[in-house]
Amino acid sequence: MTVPPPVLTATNIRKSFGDREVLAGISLEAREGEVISILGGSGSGKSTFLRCLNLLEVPDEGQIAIGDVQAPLARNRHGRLEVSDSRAAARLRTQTAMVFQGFNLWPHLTVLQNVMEAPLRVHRRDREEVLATARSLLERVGMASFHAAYPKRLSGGQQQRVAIARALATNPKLVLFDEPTSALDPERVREVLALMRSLAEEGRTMIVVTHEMAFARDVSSRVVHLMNGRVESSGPPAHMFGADASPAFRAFLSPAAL
Amino acid sequence: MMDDLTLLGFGPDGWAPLLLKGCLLTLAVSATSMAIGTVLGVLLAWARLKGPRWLRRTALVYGVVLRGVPELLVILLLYFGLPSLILSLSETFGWEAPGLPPPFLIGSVSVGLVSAAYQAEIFRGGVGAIPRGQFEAARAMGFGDLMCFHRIVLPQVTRIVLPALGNVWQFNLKDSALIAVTGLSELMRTSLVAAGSTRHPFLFFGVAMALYLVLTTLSSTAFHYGGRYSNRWDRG
Repeated sequence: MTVPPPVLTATNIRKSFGDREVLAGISLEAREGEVISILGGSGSGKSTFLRCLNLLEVPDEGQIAIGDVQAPLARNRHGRLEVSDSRAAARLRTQTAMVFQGFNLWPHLTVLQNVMEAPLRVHRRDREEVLATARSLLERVGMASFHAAYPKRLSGGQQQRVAIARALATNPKLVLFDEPTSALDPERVREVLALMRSLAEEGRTMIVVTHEMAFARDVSSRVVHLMNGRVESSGPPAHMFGADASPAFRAFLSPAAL
Repeated sequence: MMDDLTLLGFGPDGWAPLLLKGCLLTLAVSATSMAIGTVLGVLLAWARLKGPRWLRRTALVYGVVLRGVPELLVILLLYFGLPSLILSLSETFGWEAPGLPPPFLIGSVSVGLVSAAYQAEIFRGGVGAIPRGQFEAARAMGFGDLMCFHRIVLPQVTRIVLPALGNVWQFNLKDSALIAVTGLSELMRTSLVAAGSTRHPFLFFGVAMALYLVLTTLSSTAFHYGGRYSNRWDRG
């Protein structure tokens, strides 16, 4: 069996905020169709790492590539890494999409307009085609009947499902999820997780920062445990949730088991 | 009483045509200064938020100065001060002496410069009130800076700043009366001349007051409906 090509290659990512080192050198490769769950306690750097992957945060060290395109990072004259070409960075981001903890739908656009905005304005695709895609995505996430509503009218779970449709509308190579269910009521968590599971099953490449252990165990192809800004351990869920998992990861899991 | 009606009428001794022309000129000079203030205000706000250090400082000083001195002084400085400076310079260097500056232009620029200082503060506050996640969602999808401004920031900031801009507009409209000192025959200047030449100051200042009230009331109603429209997506 041939190994699918890497969609994302992140090498030795470091990031400090002031004196506090949040990422102490993390490398991660995501191959096509992989679903990678990133787990870790609060302050372990998982959200910061995810935000480095699409350059919402600029790492202090390291390299990032989407497919075979390198992220435009270069040292400035003070020796700090910075985005050297903001247009190239924007082009790179068009290959990815992100789902946020706080949804971040655009409140002045309707549900349908939120989904159509990026493919229409950024990718400049044909309007009819974009409209058809948007409608079928909204159908898929169960929000078709709300197409004309403004985000304020929707519940958190509904907003997040629209945000997922928005993320898929450009057909990205990689979807980043930043604690997508952390701001939801427990009964809304399930509808969003079910949707994410169906995306995983259709072969989407996803990197998911989450606290949902069941999702990590049952859906992901690989689990990465971050601790103190490093990869403490990683592997397929069967291994990570099995008898010979690392003691630190088992200690991290144990409060959930109680 | 007959006398008053004749004076305010459209007849040969009536001031109605001139007063109405004054109203139009007041509206025109206010709108021009508001537009100058908006364009310059956006640039100043951008300078304060995103500019390099020296530009941030310059914009800050601009705001402190233009909000801190009387508007009448700005008008006098630009209309009388600046030409006299240019005149003495042209004598020194042997240039051709310039004529008097056009009152409409100088008037709307003066009021516009002050308006810009207030509008800059409003825009700066408005952009600051947009949650950071809004920009991040746009950037994460590959929006460039300009598109993010046009599609995401502008519609949201409009809703936030429109009530405050309505206030600035009202001040602009009233402050345009100060341009009367340049001799521009807007509403204030026209009523001054009418009051003086007919010796009916109460009548003409009373009429001017009523006309200003009509202008301010109509325009604040317009801003009210504009505000409701820009707010349509936020009404639950």
